[in-house]
Amino acid sequence: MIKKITTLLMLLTCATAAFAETIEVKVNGLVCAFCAQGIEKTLRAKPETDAVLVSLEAGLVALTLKADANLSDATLRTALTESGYTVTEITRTNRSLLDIEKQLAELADE
Amino acid sequence: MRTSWILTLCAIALSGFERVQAKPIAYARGTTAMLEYGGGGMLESQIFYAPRFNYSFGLSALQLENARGTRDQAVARANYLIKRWNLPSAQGNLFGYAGIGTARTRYPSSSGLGADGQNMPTNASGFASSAGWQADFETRWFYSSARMDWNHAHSQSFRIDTTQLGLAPYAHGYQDWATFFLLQARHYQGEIGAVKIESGVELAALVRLFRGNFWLEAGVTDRGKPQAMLMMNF
Repeated sequence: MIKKITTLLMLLTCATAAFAETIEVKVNGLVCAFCAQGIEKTLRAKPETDAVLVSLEAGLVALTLKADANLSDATLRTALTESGYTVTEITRTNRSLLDIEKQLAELADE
Repeated sequence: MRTSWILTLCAIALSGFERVQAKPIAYARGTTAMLEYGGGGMLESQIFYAPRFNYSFGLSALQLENARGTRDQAVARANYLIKRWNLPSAQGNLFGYAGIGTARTRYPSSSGLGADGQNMPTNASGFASSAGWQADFETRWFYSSARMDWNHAHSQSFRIDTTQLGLAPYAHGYQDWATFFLLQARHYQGEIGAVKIESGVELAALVRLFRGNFWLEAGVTDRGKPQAMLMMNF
């Protein structure tokens, strides 16, 4: 029984890791490297943040969180508003930051 | 002769004040350090810290030097973002600033300045103040700004109006070097002692490069003076 529960827990952990949530935030006002740098610095300073991707081209800020961490939409919206930008949309997806980066690169090449 | 000398000195002095057209506030909890050189003997260093995205404070030190005199100014300054407009692919800003400090002007006696004791002090020092505003609008390939600066220090008052228009040959990404080609127009007016000063419009062509936390701007005015500015955010 204990063995079964352990296996189930391990599977659940793996599944969570495999579908780690990425938060994608559409932001208005992102026009220069200093804007991106400020946002990146603000989000990286949060203990919940694992990695951050900022795209000036797409007006997008994407971040992944550390295991078991959570950041509410309200917290994110406040962080970005207090950085001087306007949040227009927050979505939670299963795309990795690498996938987003690849997609943005493809769009730029088109 | 005397008037033309004063105008020359004034133009050199004026060209050093608050020339930096970059944003005085980079981002929240960020420090901005700037170093600027202007041909004709101007060196200015500034450092600002922004606790929040909409205000910063810091110090500005300026030295102006030519063959006939030197002027040093140190000012504590506060910058405030009055209004920001965030658009899908653009940003507009309205900044205001004010500063107070001291200024010292030294002229060697051989310069002959102030010989009649009426218009120009031979040596002077005292309270200095400055204030101004800047409005800008930019995208990843277009930059425009308008700026007005007022400076006052012991019997010298100046106003400088500056506009910049810039285009980028490509729209930059976060990890790219951004390149802008800018055209700048500047007009000086003011008073030294009882003498009113007004220059024509001075034009300058500039190249601006920035990436990450590094910013470099360099160019030359239509009067043949080089100017360069280095800025870092951290």
